[in-house]
Amino acid sequence: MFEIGLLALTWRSLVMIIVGVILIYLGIAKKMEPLLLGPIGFAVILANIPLSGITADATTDIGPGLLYIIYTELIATGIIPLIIFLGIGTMTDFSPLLANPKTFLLGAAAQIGIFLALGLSIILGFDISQAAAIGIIGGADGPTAIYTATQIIEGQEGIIAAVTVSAYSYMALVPIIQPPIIKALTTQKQRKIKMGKMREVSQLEMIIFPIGVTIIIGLIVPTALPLVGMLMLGNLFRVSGVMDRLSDVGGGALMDIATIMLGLGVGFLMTGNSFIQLETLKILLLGVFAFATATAGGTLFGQIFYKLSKGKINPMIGAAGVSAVPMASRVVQKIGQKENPASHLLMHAMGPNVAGVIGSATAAGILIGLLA
Amino acid sequence: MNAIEVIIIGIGVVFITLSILTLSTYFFGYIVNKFFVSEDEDEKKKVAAIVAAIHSRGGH
Repeated sequence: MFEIGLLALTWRSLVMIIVGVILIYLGIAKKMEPLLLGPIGFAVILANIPLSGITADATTDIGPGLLYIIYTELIATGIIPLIIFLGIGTMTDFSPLLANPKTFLLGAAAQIGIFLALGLSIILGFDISQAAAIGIIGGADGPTAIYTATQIIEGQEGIIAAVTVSAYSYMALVPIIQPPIIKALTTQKQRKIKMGKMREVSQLEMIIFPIGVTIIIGLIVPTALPLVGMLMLGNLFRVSGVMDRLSDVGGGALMDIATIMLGLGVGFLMTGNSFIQLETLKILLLGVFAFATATAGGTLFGQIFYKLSKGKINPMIGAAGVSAVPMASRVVQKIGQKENPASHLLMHAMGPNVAGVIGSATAAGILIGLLA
Repeated sequence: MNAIEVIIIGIGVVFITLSILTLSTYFFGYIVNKFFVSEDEDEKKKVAAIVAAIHSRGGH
């Protein structure tokens, strides 16, 4: 039977349509993660126009709808986040980490934000599984956040949507969130420290690395293997020197297709009824807390490195331990160069930065193993 | 499993895992450089690996 959609429009749907338009505006006009906010914003509009059936499940007369299929078959199963992780692997240069392996520990320290946000979420009334899904926002990694949330709190679309939006939004806001925390936890003298040249890394080391990391993490935290394995497979494509075609596809067309699907799937989650809740606001605030404490954890661990190295290591590089690559490294580089124009911290910060990607995937695997 | 247990196990296992990766990376780096990389390897190749361009993650 034909019905006019306008008559079925609720105020919640209308608010979400406006949110969709704002997301598209931020993506296009402000260039904030346009590749993601574009499809997400458009999908939010699609999902909130009533009676189209685009979000309808298989039990309805007009279902299953396109967005429902994309979400249930590609996002909730973990396929798309994992394909994106493969693409990230093809784009990630681990050589700064190989040149300075101790920066792995800075990547570990920054994951403390995940667990502090988990604790605060419990205090604010979320159950342990929901709290873990919220905490993973502190991993500062979009695919990891959505993969973990869909594995731990399957079926709780409102919370999964808020976690995903929070993770991606705050990644774009890293240049705003991190600087005040870094400055509060370091002195001007420390921020001026110029670090020495990094050692050279051979191709053989770079080839052994993804294979070794996959085996080691797989044996310690098996539930992290899907994420870490895809990341390292993509990286093997990149460094092998003989799989350029796979590397190009993994980090190019395949990643772009996955990004479109992710955007549409996340948009499916953002319907008025599930998204406009008090919990959403709480999760957005907890996301800031997670990012802030992750930055603080990394920076404070950087202070230990500073002490142990007798002032040779700039503690700011610890802040790059959050896995927002390469934004967090750029923040450190920018602050460092502002304080000391002769200082180039970018490659030094990339070590903890890419370690953070491995650290957050490991933390996600632990939470999935404990709570899924 | 309560929250305290999850937090302690989570932080502990992350640090243990990444510590093992740290030691392994030092170990394999030492072995590779000691026995498998010749000193006259093309300098340009090695420098290129270090200063490899940092790619955007396409928003992720």
